[in-house]
Parts: sequence; C-alpha cells; structure tokens
Amino acid sequence: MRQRLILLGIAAVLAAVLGVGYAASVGNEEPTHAPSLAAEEVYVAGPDGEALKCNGKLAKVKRSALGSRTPPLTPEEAAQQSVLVRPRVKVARCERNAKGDETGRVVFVETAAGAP
Amino acid sequence: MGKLSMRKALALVPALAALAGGGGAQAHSLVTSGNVYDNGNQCVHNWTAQAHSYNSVVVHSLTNTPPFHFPLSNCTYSNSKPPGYLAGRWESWKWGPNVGAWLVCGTQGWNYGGGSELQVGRPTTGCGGGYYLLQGGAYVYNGGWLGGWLMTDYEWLWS
Repeated sequence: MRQRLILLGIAAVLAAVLGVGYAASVGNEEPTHAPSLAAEEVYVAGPDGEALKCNGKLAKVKRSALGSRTPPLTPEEAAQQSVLVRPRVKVARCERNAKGDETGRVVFVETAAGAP
Repeated sequence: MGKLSMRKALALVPALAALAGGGGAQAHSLVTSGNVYDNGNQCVHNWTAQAHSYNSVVVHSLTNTPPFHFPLSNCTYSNSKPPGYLAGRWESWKWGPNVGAWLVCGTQGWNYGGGSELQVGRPTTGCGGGYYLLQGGAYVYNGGWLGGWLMTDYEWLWS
C-alpha cells in the first residue's frame, strides 16, 4: 500500500512538472486587443502555429489573399458549383523556388480538414 | 507491489499530466450571433461559433411577420431562397504572443447554398495551443450580397 502511494506521488509530481513545462513552452500570454475586421494586412500562422517567417522575416499578407470579404460569385455561378465540392481549408506557407529555397513570399495551400 | 500495480501507477501519468497542463482549456463553445442585415423585409442572421475542434457559421435568411399573422415580430420568419443565394465563410485566428498580434491560422472559401439556412462547418486547422477566436461571414443575395461579419470572443484551445 505504501509503495503504491509513493508511486502515485511520483506520478503526480512528474505530471505537474510536465504540465507546467508544456504550458510554459507554448506560452499563455493573453491577447491585448481584438483583431481588426478592417485590417488591410495580417500576420499568418506557420506550420508550427507561430507567426510565419519566410527568409527569416515575419510574413504579412494582404487580407484579400485570404479570400474576399463578400461572396465573389453570383448566385447563378454558385448554383452551378457542385454541392459535393466544398472548399478546402487554406493555410499559409512560405513559397519555395525550384531549388527549395524560400522566396520570401507567402502562398496559401489547401489542406485536409483538421490537418495543419 | 506486483507488476499490475506498477502498470496502474504508470497509466496515471498521462491522465495527471493532462490535468496539470490542461487547466486552461474550457469545455464550452464561444458563440456570437445576431442580425447583420435588416431592411424590414430581408434579414440576415449570422451565428458564428468556435468549439474546441470545430468552427462553424450558420447563415439564416429571415423576414418579418407575414400579413395577417400575430404576434408581429421582426426577422423571425424563414425567407427561403433559391440555390446559391446564401453564402458563409469563416477565418480562424490565433494570438501570437511573440509578435503581440493576431495570426490567421486558417480559413475556408465561400460556401454557397439555398433555402433559409446554410451551415458551414469544418474541423479547425490546428495551429497548436493558444488563444483562438473565430470570424464568420454570413450573406444573402437580394439584388446584391447583403450581410456582414461577426467575431467570437477568444478562448484558450489546445489544438
């Protein structure tokens, strides 16, 4: 019984250390302001979930690159699209040239739902 | 102390780790909703919600009480539209503490539909633990696209 309690105690301490360490690593600083709905340029998240850097510089993109703020199609054009073809989720990545080097530009790539 | 007890103790580690580290997670959805357009006959209701692993926008095409109906109320009756006349889109935002600004984690193109309600929803793009909020656009075509965007409050999510 005593050994069980000791093991349980060790497990609890280990869990606390891991939990605090993880929380510290991801950062829990609260937002200081809300994003502007009218901003012309925005930062985007990279594969690691942090602000995307291309060629070592923070990348900012035109808001319009994410998609228009009002629907771009007329109802007639939209109705011609198959209801089975749903738009896929888009995420930002650094553009690379043929050699695999970053060009400094940002491209949006489609990804499977739920996957970064 | 047998092997079984040791296994039990070790099995507790991940659960306790989740408890210790996951205290910031909240077990509810953040919802912002309201009419984003109302001209008396045509109303557009936007319901934007951020759940733990799901983003959704619901577009409602509504109208006022039809003639000879009681009680009178505004923007409560369904106003059905042909296919392609309703549209919705969302953008998921994550707070970037390193830059002190909001980052767009992911977005999705416009979804179109008909009838009086369009539901747009997808699992989140998963940009890691952080504070997230959702912006959702809801529009109905009535001689032009009418509607607007709403934004939820933010909350801590682990994915």
